[in-house]
Amino acid sequence: MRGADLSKLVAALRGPIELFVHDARVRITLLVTGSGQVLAQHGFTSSYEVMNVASLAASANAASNALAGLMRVDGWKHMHHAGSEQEIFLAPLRTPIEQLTLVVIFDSASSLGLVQFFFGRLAQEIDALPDLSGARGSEDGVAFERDLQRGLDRIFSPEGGSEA
Amino acid sequence: MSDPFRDAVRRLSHVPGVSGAMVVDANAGVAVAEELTPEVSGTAIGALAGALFSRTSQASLMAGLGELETVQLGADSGHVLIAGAGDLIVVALVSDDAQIGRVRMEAQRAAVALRAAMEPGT
Amino acid sequence: MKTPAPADLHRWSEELARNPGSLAFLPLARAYRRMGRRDLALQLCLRGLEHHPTHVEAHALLALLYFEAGERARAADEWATVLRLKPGNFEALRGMGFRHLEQGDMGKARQHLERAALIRPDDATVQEALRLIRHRESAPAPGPPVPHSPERRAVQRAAPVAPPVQQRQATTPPTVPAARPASRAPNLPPAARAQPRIEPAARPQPRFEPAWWVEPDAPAAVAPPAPAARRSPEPAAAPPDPTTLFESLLGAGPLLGVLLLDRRGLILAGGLRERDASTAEELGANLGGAIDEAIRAVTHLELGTWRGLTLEAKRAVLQIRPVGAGALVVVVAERSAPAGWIVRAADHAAALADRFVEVYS
Repeated sequence: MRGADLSKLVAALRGPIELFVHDARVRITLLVTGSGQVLAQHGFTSSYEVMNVASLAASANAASNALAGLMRVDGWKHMHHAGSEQEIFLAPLRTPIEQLTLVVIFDSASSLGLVQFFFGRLAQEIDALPDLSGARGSEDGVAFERDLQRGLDRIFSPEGGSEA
Repeated sequence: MSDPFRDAVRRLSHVPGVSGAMVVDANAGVAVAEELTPEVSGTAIGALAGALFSRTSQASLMAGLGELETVQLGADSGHVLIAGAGDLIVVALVSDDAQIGRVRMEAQRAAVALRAAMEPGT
Repeated sequence: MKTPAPADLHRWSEELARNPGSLAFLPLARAYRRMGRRDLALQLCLRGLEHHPTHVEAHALLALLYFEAGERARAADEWATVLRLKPGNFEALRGMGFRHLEQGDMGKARQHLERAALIRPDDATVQEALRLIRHRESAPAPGPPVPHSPERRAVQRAAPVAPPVQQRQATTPPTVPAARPASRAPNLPPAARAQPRIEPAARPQPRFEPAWWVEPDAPAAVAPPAPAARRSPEPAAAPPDPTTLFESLLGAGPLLGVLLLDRRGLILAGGLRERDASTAEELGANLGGAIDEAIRAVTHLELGTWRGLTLEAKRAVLQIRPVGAGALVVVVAERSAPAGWIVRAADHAAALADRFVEVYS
């Protein structure tokens, strides 16, 4: 991923992920690329933990995808491991630039159902992110006015919008 | 052989005004059985009803009111009715104009049946 | 914001003419809005929504157009629709937050604006509005805002600039149908309600009307009336006593107590019969988290506004109702109390609590 794309993506994901953390009441979240690069994190206390979890999550993602390939299924929706006090949830997250992995660690303040539900919302939000490329500029003003008027005439004519 | 979870949601979902009925694992917030109309999200109801019941159960116990039996959440556009059945809950999504008394009775009946079905030896 | 290329305009117009159900109405409506042709943008939006009633971006644009036209109630209707379709939409959260702030509902305003702040922590207008809410909540009983007070200026700074509308449509539109507002709401707030008779020092504040809600170039007629003009002419009387507020309810029957709690779970009035004060405090403190869950469930299940929570436990039944200023009234009855009776008792308690909160807020 290019540096400029990466920074745009990280900035665009910040809000939705913070909302996810707040709504799902999870303790830790980590967003990693397929190569184990950390894009965002919430709740970790040391970089050592972040790096470990990121690399293990990337490995788990790769292993699961390989397993899915062997089983001839179309990948997986999420993975969940329940511990006695904490639970871990890993899920692939499609973004406009590349597929990432979201790692979530939660305790009794949340639940698997809440994490699944709000993860679904997060995925929708990210799916709806605007294209990260720039918008096109304007051209000749006269042509613009002319086309505008033509468009208005066409749309708001008595037959407005009907097939020609 | 009948499935007590399916039986519970089937009866409840047939009460007029009920747009969805579920049996949910209260701690995990995930569905065990469900009968929902297409526009209702089982993931959302299971997760949110599970969290609501768990939290209100804690509040009830800590305030000395004893074990929580039912929770009814009222809003402009309808109600969510939850009846506790051990680790499970029975959830009904109810329209605003429904006979809430009848829904309540059916939900409690379903909860009693589930408790009985989950007792050791049954 | 950049003006669209003529070629784009032409293409969208052609497409819409060929196919009235095309989504080209949206970029075209945005273009017209940017060019100051809001009337046309509005027509396009309304026509587009007939074909795509659950299109989030179209509802968001319509809200913006209504807002810019000074039709705040209609704008709020559209933002509410956007939030039903997409609960994490920043513009709608901010718009609804401001709307509730205008209406004096600090609880709902805070709820929406805090969510908006999570999405865009750097948005100055949201931060400004949240600061104002905190200020209003922490102030004991401030007088009416004067036109050039710091508070007024703070709100003025929080004026929502025309919020940018996202350039892409949602790819998976939900299935909730759009509700069309039936009629235009008046620009002026409703006439001041009859206020309880209280000492002048405790006189309730006038309804909050943030200056940013009024268009900068709006004619004087739509500006809110001066606070003094909306004061109740009624003479002052003693405020209700928090220890006896619910006494009329507690005389007989299966009622164990009534509590009025603030948003932090602290008791404002009432108590539990035959129980010590610490039990009541414990109940209040423990209910806070449960109410958060209730509000979250109502929000995400798109059930509208939260109206109440009934808990049936082994030893008691609780009816919890939201009242003004984010407070809650909790009616506690014996387990054997008839369900319908408790609802009536809660109605009565909520009415008493509303009056109390109005006086003390």
